[in-house]
Amino acid sequence: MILNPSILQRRSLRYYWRAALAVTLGAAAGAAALTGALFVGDSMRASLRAMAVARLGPVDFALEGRRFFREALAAELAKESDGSGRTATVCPVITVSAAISHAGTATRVNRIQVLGVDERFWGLYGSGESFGRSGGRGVALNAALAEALGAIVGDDVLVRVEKHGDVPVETLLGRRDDTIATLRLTVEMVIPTEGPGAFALRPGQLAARNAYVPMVTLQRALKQEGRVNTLLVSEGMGRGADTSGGGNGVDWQELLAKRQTLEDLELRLRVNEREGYASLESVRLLIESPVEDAAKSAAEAAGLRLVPILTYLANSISCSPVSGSGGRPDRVIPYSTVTAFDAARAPQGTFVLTDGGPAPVLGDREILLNEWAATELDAKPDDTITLTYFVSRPGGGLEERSSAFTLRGVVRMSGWGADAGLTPTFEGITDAKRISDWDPPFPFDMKRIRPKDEDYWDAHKALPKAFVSPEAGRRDWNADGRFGSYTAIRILPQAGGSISDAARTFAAGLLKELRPAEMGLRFTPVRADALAAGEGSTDFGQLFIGFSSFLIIAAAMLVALLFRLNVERRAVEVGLLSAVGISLRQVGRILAGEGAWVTVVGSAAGLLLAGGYAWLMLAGLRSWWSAAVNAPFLTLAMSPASAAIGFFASMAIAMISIVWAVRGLARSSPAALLSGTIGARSRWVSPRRRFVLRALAVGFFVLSGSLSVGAFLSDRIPQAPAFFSAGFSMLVALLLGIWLWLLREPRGGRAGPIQLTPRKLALRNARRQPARSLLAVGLVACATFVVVAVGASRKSPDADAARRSGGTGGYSLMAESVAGLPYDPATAEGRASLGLGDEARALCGAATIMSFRLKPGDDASCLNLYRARQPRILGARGAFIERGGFRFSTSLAASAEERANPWMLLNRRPADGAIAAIGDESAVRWLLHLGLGDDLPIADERGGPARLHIVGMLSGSVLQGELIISEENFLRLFPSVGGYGAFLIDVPGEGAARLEAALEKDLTRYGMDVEASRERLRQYLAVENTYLSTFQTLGGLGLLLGTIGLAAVMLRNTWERRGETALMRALGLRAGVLFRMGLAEHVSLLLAGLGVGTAAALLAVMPHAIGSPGDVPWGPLALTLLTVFATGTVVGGLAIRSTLRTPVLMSLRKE
Amino acid sequence: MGSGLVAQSIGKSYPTRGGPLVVLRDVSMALEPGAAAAIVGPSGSGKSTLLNILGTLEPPTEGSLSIDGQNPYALDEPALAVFRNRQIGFVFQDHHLLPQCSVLENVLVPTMPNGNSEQLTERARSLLERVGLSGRLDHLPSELSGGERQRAAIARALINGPRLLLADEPTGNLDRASAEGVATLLLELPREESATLVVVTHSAQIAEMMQRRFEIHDGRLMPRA
Repeated sequence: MILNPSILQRRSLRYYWRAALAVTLGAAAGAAALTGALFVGDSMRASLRAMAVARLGPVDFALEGRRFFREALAAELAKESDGSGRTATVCPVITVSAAISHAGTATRVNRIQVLGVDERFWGLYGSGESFGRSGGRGVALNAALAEALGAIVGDDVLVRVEKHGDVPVETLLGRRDDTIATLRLTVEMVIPTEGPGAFALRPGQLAARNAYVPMVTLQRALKQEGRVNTLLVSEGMGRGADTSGGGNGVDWQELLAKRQTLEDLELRLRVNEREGYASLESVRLLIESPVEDAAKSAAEAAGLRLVPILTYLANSISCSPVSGSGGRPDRVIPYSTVTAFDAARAPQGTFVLTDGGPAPVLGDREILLNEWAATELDAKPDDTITLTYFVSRPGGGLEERSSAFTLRGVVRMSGWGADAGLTPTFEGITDAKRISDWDPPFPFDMKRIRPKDEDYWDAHKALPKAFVSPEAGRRDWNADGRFGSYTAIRILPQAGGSISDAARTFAAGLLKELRPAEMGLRFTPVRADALAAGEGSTDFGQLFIGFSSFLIIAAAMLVALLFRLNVERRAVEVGLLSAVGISLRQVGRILAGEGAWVTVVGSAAGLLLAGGYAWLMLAGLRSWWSAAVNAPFLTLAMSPASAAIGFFASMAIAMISIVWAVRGLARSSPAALLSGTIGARSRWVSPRRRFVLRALAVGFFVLSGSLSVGAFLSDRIPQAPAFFSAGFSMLVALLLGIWLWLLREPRGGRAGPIQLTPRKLALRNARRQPARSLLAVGLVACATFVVVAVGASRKSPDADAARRSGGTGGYSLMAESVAGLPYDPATAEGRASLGLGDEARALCGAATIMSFRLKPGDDASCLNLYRARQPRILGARGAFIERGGFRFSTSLAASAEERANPWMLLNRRPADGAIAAIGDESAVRWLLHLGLGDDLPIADERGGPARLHIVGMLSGSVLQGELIISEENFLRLFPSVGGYGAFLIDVPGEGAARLEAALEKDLTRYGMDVEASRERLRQYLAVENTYLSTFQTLGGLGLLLGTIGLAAVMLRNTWERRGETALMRALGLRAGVLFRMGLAEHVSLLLAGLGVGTAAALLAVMPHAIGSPGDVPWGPLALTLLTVFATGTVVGGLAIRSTLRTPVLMSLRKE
Repeated sequence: MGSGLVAQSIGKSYPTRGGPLVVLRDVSMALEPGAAAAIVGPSGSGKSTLLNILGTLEPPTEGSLSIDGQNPYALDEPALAVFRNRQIGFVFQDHHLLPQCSVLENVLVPTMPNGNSEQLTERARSLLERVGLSGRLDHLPSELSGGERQRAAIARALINGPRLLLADEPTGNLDRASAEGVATLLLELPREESATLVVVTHSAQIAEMMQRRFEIHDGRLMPRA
């Protein structure tokens, strides 16, 4: 075949290669931007994953306990896993967060990770580090920490770690003043921040700051000898999809359930053969509810009886005799234990009254005294016995309360009545030889101890002196049951059975019933989790497609424009093909086919350029835009999938542009085409259409004005959207105005001399191709609108930020401690207990401090690139909720009260059991990908499922990194979290800086870090502003492409007029005049586009520009526009000059 | 309607701001198959517009047209294209050869919709030989003289054996010698193919060579002696 459409296409492409090359370059630019954006996403994901995996080293699974367990468990699990055929390595370590300071320079670094390790940890990495030179007082720092601390080998450092005390701090026997262990250590090694030096279980884009302490040293400091809180599992395969069926097929959680012992769960089962019972007790003093439930099930399964026991400490027992019955009201027994239990459950004959009768079942206001106490108080039945005792108060203090009971009888001091084992073991009390040797964690008045009390202690130790009902015990001492309900559960064998056998059966049943996860021992597939988190909080591929969108659109429009110009240039050819009987649709297909070849080549070329584009973007993210990601570790990665998507998507976009460009052909008549015209033959516009255009222009202008004025005058209209809409309406109105001007026909028939100047002629020329001119002006105007509007939207913390309704909520400082503060610094008593100095106490007294419970988790703010799976959670106290503050972007507020203060929504109790939560909109919407009313599934402390229900979202606040729930709900989810870990502080006047310094100094041992809220807000806004800069830069590139399009239009215009230009030169006009005339036409279109876009954009951002003129980067914006203007003018000038170079005669001949 | 070309009461006007601009008024003509006619008239008189209407390139505002008994304007665009492809050949003042194609390929352009078979290719070679371009088959239009280009355009117009050949100022850009050669070919070749020829021309000499002559003035067509 000599000629067919395909051959014709190839001939045309070869003949019109310059035009084809221009379109190819346009398509390549679009493909490069699109595919490059996808490569940025690939690179971000790959880099985040690589970083996360590098931090994990060889670790696949980890058991991060919220309790300490036997170190030997590691070896047992490793041995147990041998059955799978492959040997996994299980390494025990201690991981705690800490604060560290340089002993010499006092330089402090908070929130570091301290690892208690031995040779097994180093062996995991095959590295040979070991401690030794400092006799167990050595520490290894990784380079990142050493640099931050300014420490070198040989320096001494102070490491402050939170003690994981056995007894919860917020109970009577919790040691509030002994929550921090301080270790003075000598730096033995500084290891590189790679391999073991980079270890961290949680992903993060910043290098981990680690201190490695000999395990034994740390165990001793934490009083956890032989125990650890973390197991690292390396299956040696570098994978770990889940806890079951992982790389080796080992179900680590199942293995753990098999190998766990009571000791691992901080439980002990004490058998009393003589009394015939076994007592289940907890190192934590109170038995946690999962243990209680499991104990019940185990006992039921084995046919055993249970007697739950709650023993408490009374500060005093006193007696008020009934009238005339005697008694010694002046006598008070100090510091006695009292037991609450159901006497009816005690084995027959083991708990009897002095008259030999069985102890009665007590009502909740009835009490039994033992013989000693009754004698001491000279108490008789029906006398009123008053107990005084301490209870924990919210905020860390203790409050003395009292309860009155009626004496129902006196218990014989035999059997259970003489069993000191009713009182659980508590170091510092039950192990003391004398009462005066007690070391209690509560206020203790030694002077109250009498010799007879010491005698009782000598004889009976902590034997309870009084007994109340379980209801009374729960009511008075343990109302919330947060840490458990009982201090012991006694197990009784079946009648005639052996207690030893029963205890064994019970222990086995209990361990079978107890799931380790419920006790906070849960293996997590850290490698799989890290890889999932490496997907990122934001899809950077999509983000950069968004940023590059205008560049892509501009490239597509350029492709359309260039192709259209090419088609217009070949209008006669199209007309000829039509005249010889090839339908215009077929001609369109032939041209589109040509376009397809061009787009394939362009998109393929774009793929090659995309790597460069992505490399540039990554270079930008590592340097100019580093504030957005803070990730200097980014490296280029390109996936075949992204390349394929980019290639085909770019091709599709370019093809759509080309099809759009040839769409006018079908409306053209062959005759018009043969005369060189595509589309309508006449520029004449009917009066009706002209009227419609005028009406639309006026309508958009009025709409723009109404929106602006309305938003200024009314508080009810949201300003930002209103002004943006006003700006956009103005853009449309002005473009319609330009369209009408372009369509205006020259007026004729006027009397008087006609002055035709080059400037007038230039403007008239601009109207010769109205559609072409409008397209070029519109392209430049739209690009300018986007670039200016986005650029002018940059923000810094404004004056409003400091207000209660602003981004800081009126809190000038925000603070966080490494270890929860056991006392609430919001109260004078708490400040005194915390040992704050005079200045800090005075400044705190004048300030409003809001303390929050803190559950550590993933940072949900824009500063974290990894996907936040379990975000940090704050528990807000009632005072914070009542005070209100911050700006809400949206909420589920229904009542007037909730609308006035949406924080009240945190007190809501959704019927489905979800927990009301509030977060910052940027975190909730963009990082957690949730909306108002959505639920976020989380795991509670025991691994149970819970849901946080988003009831409100804050706008531009400092609370971006976390979700806030009420303290009540917080304690339900995380009952073991003790103390307060986060604080917002409203400091009046100028005292903020002083308070910041004073708090950090006085609370150093807690690793207190105080920061100006405004500074935090500035960090968040820096991210937002950097994204805006990125968009502005790439939008600016799009704008430059727009000016190239405008230049192409100019080139076409001048080329089409080369005949008349030659004529004018033949008539004596100098080339310089003609050049200026062409340039004036080009510049007028360029200025019209820039002016229209800028004017509309300034209207769109007017409130922000007026309110915070300092935030608007006027200089860079002006520079961008000037660059575009200069580039557009130069490119346009070159285009005009190239056509003016054509010899006059040749041009005239062609004409 | 009979065979050949029959135009009845053709009118054509264009909308402008000042009202409709009438270009043709009540134009009627009838030409039998194989006839050759010339249309003369001053510039802007409507000659080319009439030729475009006859060639189905532009529909009339009023009136009707029949070519070999068929009203082409009753057809939709694709069918009209097929009709034009099979029934009508064009020779323009500017040859409108595709600059990217060789002479032979240019002649074969009208055969593209149906595929240019070996037979058609042979016919193209034969036509080019007939117009004296057998040695120029692989040359590009830019390598030909004005007269040669116009002769190639004539061959292209005849490749599909049209029933109607329309020529718009075919010699307008040529020197006298070339013009004569082209005019001769224009007269001879359609006759050999039994095609009706309509030539718009300013040249009295060429007009004299045609069997029938019409003059168009102010949009009205009148027979000319």
